[in-house]
Amino acid sequence: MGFSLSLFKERVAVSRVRLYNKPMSETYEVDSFFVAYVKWHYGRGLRELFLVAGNFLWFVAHFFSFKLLLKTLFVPWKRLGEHYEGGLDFGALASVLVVNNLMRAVGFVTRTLVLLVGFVSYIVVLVFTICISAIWILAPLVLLGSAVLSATFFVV
Amino acid sequence: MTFGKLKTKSQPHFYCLTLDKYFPRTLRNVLRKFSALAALVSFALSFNTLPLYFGKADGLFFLFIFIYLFLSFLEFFYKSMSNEGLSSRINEKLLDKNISLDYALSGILFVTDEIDVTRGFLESKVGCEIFLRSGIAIDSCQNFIHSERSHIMSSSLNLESDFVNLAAYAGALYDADKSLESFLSNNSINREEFVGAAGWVARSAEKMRHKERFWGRENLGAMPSIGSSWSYGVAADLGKYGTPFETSTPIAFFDVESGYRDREVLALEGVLERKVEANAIIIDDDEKVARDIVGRLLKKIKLGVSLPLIEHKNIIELDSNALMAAYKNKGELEAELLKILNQAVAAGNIILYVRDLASFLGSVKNMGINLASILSPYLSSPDLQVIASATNVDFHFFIEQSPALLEKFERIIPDQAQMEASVSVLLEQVPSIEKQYRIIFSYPAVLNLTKSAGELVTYGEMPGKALDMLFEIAPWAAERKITILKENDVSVFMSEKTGITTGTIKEKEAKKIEHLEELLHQRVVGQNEAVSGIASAVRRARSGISNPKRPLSSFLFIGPTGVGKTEVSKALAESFFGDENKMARFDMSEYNGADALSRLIGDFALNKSGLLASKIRDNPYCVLLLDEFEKAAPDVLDLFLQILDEGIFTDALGRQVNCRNLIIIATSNAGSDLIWEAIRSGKNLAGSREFIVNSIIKDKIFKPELLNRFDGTIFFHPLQKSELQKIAELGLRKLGRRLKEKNIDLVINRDIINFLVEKGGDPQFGGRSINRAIQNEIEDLVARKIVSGEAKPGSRIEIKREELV
Repeated sequence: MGFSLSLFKERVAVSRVRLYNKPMSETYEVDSFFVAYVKWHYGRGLRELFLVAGNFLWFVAHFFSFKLLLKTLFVPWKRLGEHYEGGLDFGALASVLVVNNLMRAVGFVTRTLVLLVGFVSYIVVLVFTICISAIWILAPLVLLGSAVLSATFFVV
Repeated sequence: MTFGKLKTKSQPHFYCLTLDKYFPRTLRNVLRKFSALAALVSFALSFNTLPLYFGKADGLFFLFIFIYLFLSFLEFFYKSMSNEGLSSRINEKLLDKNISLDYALSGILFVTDEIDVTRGFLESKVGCEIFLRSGIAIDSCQNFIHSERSHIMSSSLNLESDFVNLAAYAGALYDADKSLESFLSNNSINREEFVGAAGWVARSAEKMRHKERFWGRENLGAMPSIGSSWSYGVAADLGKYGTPFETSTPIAFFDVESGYRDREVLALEGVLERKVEANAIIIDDDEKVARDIVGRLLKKIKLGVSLPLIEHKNIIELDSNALMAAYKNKGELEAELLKILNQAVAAGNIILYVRDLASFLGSVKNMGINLASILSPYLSSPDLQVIASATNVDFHFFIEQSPALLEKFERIIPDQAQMEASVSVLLEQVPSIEKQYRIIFSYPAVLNLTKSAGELVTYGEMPGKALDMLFEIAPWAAERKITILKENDVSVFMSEKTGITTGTIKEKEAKKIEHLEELLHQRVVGQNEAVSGIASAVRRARSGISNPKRPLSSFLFIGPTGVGKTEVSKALAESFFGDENKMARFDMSEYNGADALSRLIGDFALNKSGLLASKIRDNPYCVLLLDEFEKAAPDVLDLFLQILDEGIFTDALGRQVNCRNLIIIATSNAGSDLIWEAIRSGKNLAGSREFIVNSIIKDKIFKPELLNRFDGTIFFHPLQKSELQKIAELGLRKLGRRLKEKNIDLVINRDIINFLVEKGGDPQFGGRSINRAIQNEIEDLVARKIVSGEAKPGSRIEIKREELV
């Protein structure tokens, strides 16, 4: 394991030398690959991690149409239903009432189900984000830990 | 901005490029995926209760986890850095709008040193692609790099603005490096084409990077959501007689960011956003333009970047033909129409597209249905939006006449696509065509195709006709096994298609053009002034320096009858269009009445097309010969005033007729008397020219402005005796050729020629009387000899003067 890391460091060093060795009329400061990475990891990288997580949460809300489904929770399924023509026909009135309410019920149940699945997905993404963030913040420890653990299993 | 500063600004990209250089992306990806899989497998193998237990599996698991995490962090860093400066069409915090960087350009800067900027450009992957798109083979680029050339220092690059993209950088390099400039111009690439190719490469690269960002809102948001259609109804009958718009028009290629048709799409969106009467009619002679605009709107809806009120809407195209085919009975058709409209309203998320509303109106009118009154209440409804298309004429003829409809529709009149916009539309389509036919389009080829389509294709509108050419040229190139389509290939294709030769003049053709006078003289006797005037006009047209917005050439031939005016026109048709029959001839003495103009350009009231309009439309590349031009009615002469000036006119039905690929020749006998007098009194015709023109103007035969519009007014002088002899000889040779087909030789001698000139050489009728003499005297005699059996196949006929008297 140590081998691949040192190899990488060496390559980065080579590239750094090449970057610096470019003949430049104006001198300017350039971070080495490693320094640039570390700065990025705890600065912009972390910020972008949360932004990407935000994008995925937004996506779940958008994919499961949270806003639209909540707004139309009790609307009849696909606008199906009957129109009551008026007059005093209690049979027709009852039938229209039953059909329309049934359609509303179908709509409500389907939407609730989808909302439920969506909500679970939302939670999953949220939990996932928390886990990734933890790994991200503790990256040096996690990397070092896995390298050490791996070595212990081989050595011991 | 200096080169150094530009490099510093591009630093974030350099990290990625360094990584790619030493640890290629493909290798990283394969390794990362492999380590993830290996970690999973070793995790499974680490349980000692399982049969495949492996003692070191725990250690392996942590090792692979380490590799996986390490590579993943590296990849995130790579993605984050390479997306620095990427533009975004929707507001997203991930992309900083204040930073603009061109990743493709960074690829070049990364390998460029300050001593030889051009070398860096040519040695980078992106640079190579730009040269390929310019139509230059990589080998010749390599030869150029290693040739003796002046090296350009980075300080000589003039990078003006703060934001330098690939196209601007390529432009600066072109300006700074003279040897690059001459290398490119040797390959017939100018600055515009080189910079255009760079812009194209940069845009394609950026599009690719946008596509890769699956975590970006624009990609996530483009995924269709669940349940958005549940609160809308279903329109079952519309399903039968309507098709979703995206099935009839491929919207996948549309790039809503290109800016093309932005104005029209925004206007359409604005109309559809209204609470009531949210209907639009797109008026354009080419229905494809309307389709294109609606398609771009649909693409915006699908991408989730449309205005809120039309989110989740479907655009359904009503198939009026299928509907009318299914219902022959007035009542049934009316009922079905109402049913469809009611369902569309009930569904609540439908935008109805009615193609060619006017012809639908007209067809149902024949069945006795008043479509306007049926549609009217629905058009006012807030639940249904209708987009219709109509041609200009139909709109004025049918829709404007029906106020009930007119007030419900907002008119959208698309702009004429400019060259730049047309090129960008073509470039949108190129990738899919390249994939299909396995050819590569160079940027100059696309430019040339657009330009040629605009100038040479006389039907349709831009960019539709350029797109048609694009779809036609791909299989043409594939058939000829052309791998990289260059500018010249397009010229060959266009001349095969239209008969007009464009592009670089080839050696054989160059000779033909150079010696055009001699070629014309093979058919035309004398008339040196006319022949040389015409030849130089042809040279101007072929060298590409003539004005493309006028007819190829236009001449007024003035001279007595029978002096070769028509023969010159025929010779011109043959030498320019390759066939003497490429000629549309009008005897203008027939067009001197009150109805002359309507016979030529059509009649709006009768919905009748005109003779001139239809003949030019049928033969857009020909010589238009207008005999006895002075006899045409004054309004007809005024029409030609416009044609000669603009190269275009509008017929009575409102359609534009393109005359820019015509050679217009008007002939006239006006001033013949003066020409005669001048010749008789032994004056030089060239010297009397001004006097003759002035007297033509004075006699009000032609207006001075009309005479000035012609590229040349050419005088034909009466034929001299020597010329008449030549004509007689040419006529006899023609007869000799015909007799040769019957295996009979005709001996032509001075005697017959002199006889013909004496007999038929009436100077008033010129060459025509000679031809008549040949017909009456010689042919008649020959015919008698053949009939009597005196002249048999294999024999010789020698006519003696005594026989003719």
